[in-house]
Amino acid sequence: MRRQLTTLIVQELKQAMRNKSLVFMFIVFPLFMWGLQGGVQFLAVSNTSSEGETFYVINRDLGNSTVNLGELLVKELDAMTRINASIIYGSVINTTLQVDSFSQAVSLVKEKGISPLLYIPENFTTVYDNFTDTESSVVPAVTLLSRPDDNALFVNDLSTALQIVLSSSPFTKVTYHKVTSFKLERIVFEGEGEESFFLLGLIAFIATLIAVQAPASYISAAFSGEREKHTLEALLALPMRRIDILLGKVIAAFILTLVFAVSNIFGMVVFSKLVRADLSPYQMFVVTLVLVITSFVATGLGISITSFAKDSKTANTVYQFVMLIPTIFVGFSAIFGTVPDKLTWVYLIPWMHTIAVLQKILFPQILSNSTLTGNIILDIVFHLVYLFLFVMVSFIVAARLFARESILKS
Amino acid sequence: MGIIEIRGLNKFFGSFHALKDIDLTIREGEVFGLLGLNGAGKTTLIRILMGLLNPSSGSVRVFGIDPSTNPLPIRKRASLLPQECQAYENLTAMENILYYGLMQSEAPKEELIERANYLIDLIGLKGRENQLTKKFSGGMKRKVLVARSVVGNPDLLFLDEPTTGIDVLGARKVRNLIQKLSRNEKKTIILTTHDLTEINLLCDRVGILVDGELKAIGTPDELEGQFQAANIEDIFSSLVEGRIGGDEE
Ligand SMILES: Nc1ncnc2c1ncn2[C@@H]1O[C@H](COP(=O)(O)OP(=O)(O)OP(=O)(O)O)[C@@H](O)[C@H]1O
Ligand SMILES: [Mg+2]
Repeated sequence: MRRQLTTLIVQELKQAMRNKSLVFMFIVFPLFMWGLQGGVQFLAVSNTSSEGETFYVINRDLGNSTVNLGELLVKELDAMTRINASIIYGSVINTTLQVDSFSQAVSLVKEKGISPLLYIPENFTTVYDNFTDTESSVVPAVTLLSRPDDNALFVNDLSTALQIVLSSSPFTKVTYHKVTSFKLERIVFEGEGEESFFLLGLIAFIATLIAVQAPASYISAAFSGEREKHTLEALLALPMRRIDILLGKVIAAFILTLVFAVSNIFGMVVFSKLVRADLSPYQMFVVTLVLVITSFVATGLGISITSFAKDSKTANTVYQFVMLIPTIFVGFSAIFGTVPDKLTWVYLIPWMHTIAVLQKILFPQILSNSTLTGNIILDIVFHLVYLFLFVMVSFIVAARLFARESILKS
Repeated sequence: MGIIEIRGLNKFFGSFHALKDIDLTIREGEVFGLLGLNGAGKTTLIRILMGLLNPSSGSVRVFGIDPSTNPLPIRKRASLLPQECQAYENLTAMENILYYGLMQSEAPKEELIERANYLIDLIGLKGRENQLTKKFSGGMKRKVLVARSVVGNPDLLFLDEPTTGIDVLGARKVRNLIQKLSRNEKKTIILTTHDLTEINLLCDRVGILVDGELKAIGTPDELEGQFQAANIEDIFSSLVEGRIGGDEE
């Protein structure tokens, strides 16, 4: 029995690796999808974000006897708004505001909605001059204040522009160490992390779309494909229980999903570079994990569908219909908000649960007030249990269908 | 006791009566040919013997075991080459053959490799065993499939139309292979065919199925005596024409 199962799995994987369209779906497709999405975002960012946007600068730097680094910083930024190739080209700097303290600057942003605002403290030059490369902690030098309803892409660009200025002459004249530690501090008021929430929503959508699509190719090859290519009956005539044949194929699908997950990690790295968002390894790990779960659930559902359908064309059509429409639906709700905090019919869609898991693991603070059970951990467990049951039911249905006499063609 | 014992077997698909009161005993070591028009029930009968379909009534024993309740021990000792069966085209000839061997038999892998090599030699594919079968001709593929079905050294072989759909030369090679398996390896073989010369060349006994009924069983000689006909072809035509009530055609 063990030998049969391993033989079957090895054979399935071998064939899959020799099947070009399968390799494409599992390895190339995820890279392509992430790259494409990233590219679209990238173009959107570089084309539209800065033109006509205004940002505020309050420079309170007193300088020292020879130089005022704050003024220099503002000058450099101002120059960037005029350089055609720069990412903040076309934006306008407003330097007319005056405050007496950092907290006044904060209230300008929070209460008057004056943002994004760059605050340069009185001691900017002094701190910089006294900075020694033995200092290991990051020195908050200047602060970029923004609000969630600011143009997130513009704020992103502005922050990048600041980092560019801070890491070039004259700010780099001292040591490498100084530059890397001498950082810009960024604060977003209200709904902290909203912006990355949007980004993660987008990622969840792409991930779900890929995770749902990828197994389809293997499933149709492994099930309807066997029937259409006239290899199934001989397989069923082997001394192996049908349920074990099914199990072998499911395990093979799972292994392929892991290969696919690796390819996705590469895709995500490319994506995050293109959209200039730093996804942490933890975030990528969670996304990958949820992706594998999603893919596995899709496998279960796909196997039931293909065992029903009379040929792989029908199977594919049904699969697309059953999978894609809910995926797109769920995807949009992931991008534009959080998953519902009431048990509604949308929770019948398994992807709603995978996205819920994703959101709740990554943003426990944001979602702590909108849980189903009142406790975020309990919620995550609930979603995972639902997914587990869903997979189990799919496999039982598939096993039943797989055991029918009519699986053989007459 | 025969290797296969069938008593009063009936098979219905819904209300369609596909096999009608079949009684048949197959002896060890013989090559038995099942003859019948399209839809006569040949494939259905074989599938029941392999436990792929369940009988509607009657009793079936293969190696003394009921295939409808306990098919796995039967499948360890019996192979099926289904009608229109294909090899896995993304596997090489060797991989196709070995795959089946590892799945069917409990023999050590080395032993199976050795036997696979012997079979590859026997079917004349030496030197091409590591090519993907998608590059093979129809006849070559069929020979791989026949080799595959005996790699696990089963005692019983079901070959459902092993020579249909390949060219004359390919068919002849497959027939030679079947002959060798019968003579050299003493396999019990049950094959279905539409080809009457094949029956004469290969089969010790013949069964003629007409509309799910086993109308005649015996050696070609016995049948010729029984029906007072010169050859199987005449017997077959008269049985089949009897079915359509003497109409022209
Ligand atoms: N799964 C099934 N469901 C319904 N009817 C079936 C099924 N399998 C076979 N039949 C019917 O049973 C009859 C016998 O079919 P079978 O395939 O056994 O014939 P056959 O003798 O093998 O024919 P052929 O020479 O075309 O292979 C046919 O009329 C066929 O339509
Ligand atoms: Mg048939």
